[in-house]
Formats: sequence, structure tokens, C-alpha cells
Amino acid sequence: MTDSANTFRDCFPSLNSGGVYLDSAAKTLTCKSALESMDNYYSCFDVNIDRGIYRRSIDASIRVDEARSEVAAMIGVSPERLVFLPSTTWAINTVANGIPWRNGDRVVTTALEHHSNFLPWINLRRRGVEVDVIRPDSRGYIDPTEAAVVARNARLVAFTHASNAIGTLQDIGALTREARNAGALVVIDGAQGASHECTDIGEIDPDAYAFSGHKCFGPAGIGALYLSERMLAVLEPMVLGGGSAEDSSPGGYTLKNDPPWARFEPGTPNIPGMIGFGAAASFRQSLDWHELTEGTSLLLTCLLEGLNSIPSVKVYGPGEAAGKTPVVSFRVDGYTPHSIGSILCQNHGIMVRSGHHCAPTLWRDIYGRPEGAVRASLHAYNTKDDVKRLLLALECLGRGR
Amino acid sequence: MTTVPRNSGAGVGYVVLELCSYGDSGDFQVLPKSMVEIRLEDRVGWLTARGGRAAVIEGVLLAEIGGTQISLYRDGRAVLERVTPCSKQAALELYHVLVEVDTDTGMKQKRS
Repeated sequence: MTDSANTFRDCFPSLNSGGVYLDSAAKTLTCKSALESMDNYYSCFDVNIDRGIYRRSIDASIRVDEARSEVAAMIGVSPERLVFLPSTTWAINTVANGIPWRNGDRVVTTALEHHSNFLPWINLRRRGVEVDVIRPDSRGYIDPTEAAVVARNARLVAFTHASNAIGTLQDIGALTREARNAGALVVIDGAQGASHECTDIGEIDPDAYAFSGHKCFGPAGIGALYLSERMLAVLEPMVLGGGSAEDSSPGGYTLKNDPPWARFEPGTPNIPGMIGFGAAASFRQSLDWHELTEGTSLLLTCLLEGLNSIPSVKVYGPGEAAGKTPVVSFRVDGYTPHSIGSILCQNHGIMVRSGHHCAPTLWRDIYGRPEGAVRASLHAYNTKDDVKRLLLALECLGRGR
Repeated sequence: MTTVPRNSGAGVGYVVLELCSYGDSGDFQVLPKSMVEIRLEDRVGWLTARGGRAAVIEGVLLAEIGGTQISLYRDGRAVLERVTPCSKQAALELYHVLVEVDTDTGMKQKRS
């Protein structure tokens, strides 16, 4: 390992806890600067934000404002349009439940989706909304031309930036364009995409883009939602409380419009989470992302080649690194995914995820494997040795059965 | 003897975690809170005598009985897949039968 790789790994204290961590699609490790910023908040501020008349509250509010700017800069959007919410799931539900749906409205989503971008839309059928689910091609990609046809007369199209199960990066620019041309609102689940890509979401300009701190080297329990002007014009807040309204009386209330995010963040928010997410975003911005992703791509190639060379292993999704995040799902003949996951952990200290990864439609309807697969997901702090250890363990297992 | 609870047996608690599952059945992980040691080789015979399939591979007992897939480790950790009904209680009961521990007392059961 090079000195620079070691220095980068030093930014993630939990790497010292041992084992081989290959579950970054579930949660990336938290970077040191995020941990320090949260510790600093509790040690030095520890007060509520906004509307505070004393200096410490004002200073803490400034920290949160800075965090919003840092997270917004990470995806190239205006901080005014960025709402902090507990997670990607919460953010997508905010959109799904905040649009005043009309009977007969139609929503389009895909069979690739994580439950967080699937259940909120399916649930709308109870409100008279039609929901269509389009299938990816055999490699796990949504064809924008096909999406354009299906999006006709749809009020909203929702799709993932990158599959959490097989890693396929979708052409979100073309998908957004086609859906927009068809007159639909566009919602993107960016949980996995934002984790690995430096995408200028401001340029792509979907109507909503949701992502999470814990997938971007930040803490858990904090996410963000970008909203376009079009979406802001129709979206109503799902939850109301302190900070939502300009004024209220027994006769009613007037929602806050300035800044636009205010009416979507009622109550005391996750202040350390926001600050930690901001620090993680700032850390990411300080990195040479191109160099890091090149390194991760080489690891992914090494992993895919190794897996494809083991006769008992079957890889799902694309067999090459191009066009995907470093997320690989596979099965081993003669073993269930959970048994592989537990053996890797128990006997080899390797942490992976097993099952359908909250994407049961993909595993059941596309791959005919309702029990799912084993998922190894890499990130920039992983090493070639991590990949070698996984491959060695799987080779042993392949021989054993 | 198949199960040796090192803290004398009674009151061995278990953590039961639900894993990613599908359909009407459930997948669970059972972990004893105290140190236990299971002789996996003994369990192979016990399972095959009851119509199951079982083998110890890489220190893991991999078995299938009545549609349920089992991965059992010497330290008592177990992954139970396709458990019906889909409940933690059903998983724990199956686990206790598997390692011959009485569900109520936590003590090893006598063989019939």
C-alpha cells in the first residue's frame, strides 16, 4: 500500500477495529473530520439553533448553515434548495406524500429500486394513483428511450442513480431529460450514486434528488433532499411544527417560504448530524475524487475477474467495472447467501451483506432468485488485500462443497 | 452430550435477529449471550436420523431439514433460513430443538 493510501485510510478511525469491511453500500465508514465536528458541537456548543438570541446559538446556527452549503456544493446545487431530513428514505417519502395527488395520476418507477424508492410509490395506489414499474435490461440498466415511452402521461418518474444491489449506474441525465420532455416530475434516489459519483445534479436538474450522510463518509440519521422550483411549487410539507410557519392562529397558518427548505424542517433537527454531514462533504470536496475512483475501479476489476474465475461463483449484473459502482452481488453453488455471509464473517473476518438488499422485485422478478445474493461493496478505503482475502475465502468455500 | 453451556446451562440467553427474508417464511440469526460449545459432528447424525441433510464444512454445520436451511457454528451461532411461521419465537424454538436445549429452562434436554 502506498503512503497516500495509508494516509487516506487514517482518516477512517473504525478501520482500526479490524476485519475486512465490504459493506459500504449499507454504510460507509465515518471520516475523522465528521466525527471531530460532531464532538466539537457537543463539547463547545450543545445548544439549539435558529431563533436563539445568544451567541452560542447563533454560532451553532452558522455551523449548520455552513454544513448546508458544503452538502449542497457536493452535488452542485443551491443550499437554499437543500432540505436536511433523516435519510434518503425519509426524503423520498416527503416527496411521495407531499404532492397533492389527483385521482388517475400516474407514477413510473423501476424494478431496480431499493424499497425506499419503491414502497412510497406503490403505496400511492391506495390514493387512486396508478403506478407502473419498468424493467431494466438484462445487464441492469434502464433504457431512457423505453422510459420516455412509459413516462408519457405520467405525473412523476422515480428512478435510482445507481442500483444498491448490482451497482449499475443509470444514465440519469438522459432519463431526466426524457421524463421531463414527457411532462413528468423527476425524482432520483441518489443514495448509492452520491456515495461514489461526483455528479453535478444542478446541471441535470431533476425535481428531487435524495441522498444520505451515512453513504458519504458522514454520520447515520441525516440525509438531504434537493428540490427544484417546479417541485417546490407543488410540494406540501408532510410534518408541521416549530419553524414551519410564518404565523399561525386558531384560524390557520401561513407556511414559511423563505428560505424554501424551512417549511420542510420542523422541530429541532439533527444538529450534530447536519454538522457531521457538512464536514464529510467538505472532506470529500478536498479529495482528488478522480484518483480515488480510479483506484476503486481497479479494485472492482480485480474483484470481478477473481469472482468470474471461480467456477462455483455466479456474479449478477455487469461483469466489468465500467458503468457501475463498486458493488458486486454473487452467489456460490451449494450455499445460501446468508450462509456465505455468516461463514465469511465467522471464519474470515469479512463483513458483507446477504439477502435481497431491500430490492426483492429485482431478485425475484428479474433474476428468479427471491432469496437474493451476497453483496460485497467496496469504497475508496478498501485495499487489494481486502479483495484478495474475499477471493481466497470464496475459493476455499467453492472447493469445500 | 452435544451442548456444553460453560456457565452451567440454565439461563443462557439468546439474541435473535431477523435477516433479510422473503415470502411467508423468515430468516434469522441466533446468538447465545454466553459462551457455549457445540459438537457439530454429533448434530450431523441427529439431523440425518430425522430425515435431514447435514455436513460439516469449514467448521460450519450446513444442514437442511423440513425446508429450513441451517448454518450452525461451534460457538452456538446459527443462521436459520426459511423458518415458518416467520417469527423470532419459532426460530428460537427450532434452535433449541437443534441444540437440544429446553426452551423453558435453557438446560440440555434428555435424549428420548
